[in-house]
Amino acid sequence: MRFLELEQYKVKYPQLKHYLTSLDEYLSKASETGHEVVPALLAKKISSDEGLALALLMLADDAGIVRPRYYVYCDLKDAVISEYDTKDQIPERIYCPFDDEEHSRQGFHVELVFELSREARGMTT
Amino acid sequence: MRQQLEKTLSHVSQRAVKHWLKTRGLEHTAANTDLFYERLIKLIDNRSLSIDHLKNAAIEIEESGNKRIYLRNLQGTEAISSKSALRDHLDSLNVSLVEDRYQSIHQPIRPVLNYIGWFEQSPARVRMKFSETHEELEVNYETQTVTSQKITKFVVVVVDVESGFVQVRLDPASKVHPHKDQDGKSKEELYEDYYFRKAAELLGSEGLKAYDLSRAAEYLTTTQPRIFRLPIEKVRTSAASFQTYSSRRDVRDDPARRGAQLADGDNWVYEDLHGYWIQDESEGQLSREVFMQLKRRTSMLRFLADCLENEVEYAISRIRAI
Repeated sequence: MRFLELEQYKVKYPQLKHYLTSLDEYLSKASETGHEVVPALLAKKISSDEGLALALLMLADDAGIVRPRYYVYCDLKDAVISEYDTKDQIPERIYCPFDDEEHSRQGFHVELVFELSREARGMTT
Repeated sequence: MRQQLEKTLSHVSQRAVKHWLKTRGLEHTAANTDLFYERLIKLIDNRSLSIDHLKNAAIEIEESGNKRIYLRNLQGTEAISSKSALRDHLDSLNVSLVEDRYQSIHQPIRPVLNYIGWFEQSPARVRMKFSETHEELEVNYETQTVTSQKITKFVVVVVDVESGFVQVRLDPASKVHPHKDQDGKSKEELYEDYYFRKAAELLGSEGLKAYDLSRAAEYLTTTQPRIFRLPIEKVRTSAASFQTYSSRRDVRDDPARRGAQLADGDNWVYEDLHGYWIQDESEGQLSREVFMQLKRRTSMLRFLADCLENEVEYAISRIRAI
């Protein structure tokens, strides 16, 4: 299972070829499990720092394989309480169903993750 | 004399002062506040201690105890390439470089720089200290009254000149402080951001970049022999969920946690560790176990109120060596 759309970036950025191959494998696995891709976990898998993992995921976004999502986590329960497409959409206060109360910015944190795009699910070969 | 001592030590924890006395080989036990001050007066009377020593101890404790320490790297280090370069940069901001770090301004009206200095340690360091006043509010529901207490908060920034590595040490914010949002509400993130920006400005830098603690967090949990006792650990699993383990002594001795690590541990990202640096593995640098919390996502270390400068420095130097 490979995402052929990533091949163009291997040509464009030959220094990233090795990392793009690892990304390809990682995304293929993610497409099987349906899990979102967290930059820190990808960084661990490809033995790089989070900055490079993020850069690779942005290439995958450019290729239409993933799309960025902002997950809002309750600080107390470490559970996702809301999701947004852009950072600007995140309100000052968000209702947390787990605590049954509204949290302000001091009660939640935001994490950028990448979800496999709908198109990408039919993209692998 | 008691009044003078109380004034000198009013803003630091007694536990920290006792520990400071212990590290200097002085009698330090005291069951209550009265005995604590009696102990200090006795030490001063027999010339084992002076008020100046205690003033310096209080400053050491306020600069290292109870701190949330954000680890950062400077982006652009030209202004600290030499002492004269920093002096020139600070001149342009109408700020003077001092030689003595022992200044402490209490309950200022607005956030204030206590000092900024260049210190020729090994390695050379720039160190600056700020203070500001926060308010703790106490509600008495019976009488329906609110009383407010003013508290001085200290923020210390320590910079390794050669590498551009920065520690931004912040006291935890109280409910009411000078950093308000547009609705006039005190916000902790605005308090923190203020000092990240202030440090960058005084250091002539474009900004501060988070120091990646991923490797350090993993090393602290996996290296053998253990150098860090780990009663609480939060990991991110390969399925991107969080798993928290807690144990009286060390989560790594829990068979359930061991099983989970066998199944998925290679993929784990260690997000949040609460534990203790082990004294026996410190090559004589620690005189006790030292508590530290490590938060990977925010590149932050947290230390307790009785933590001394050498203990903070030990922890950070070990982390940087990883």
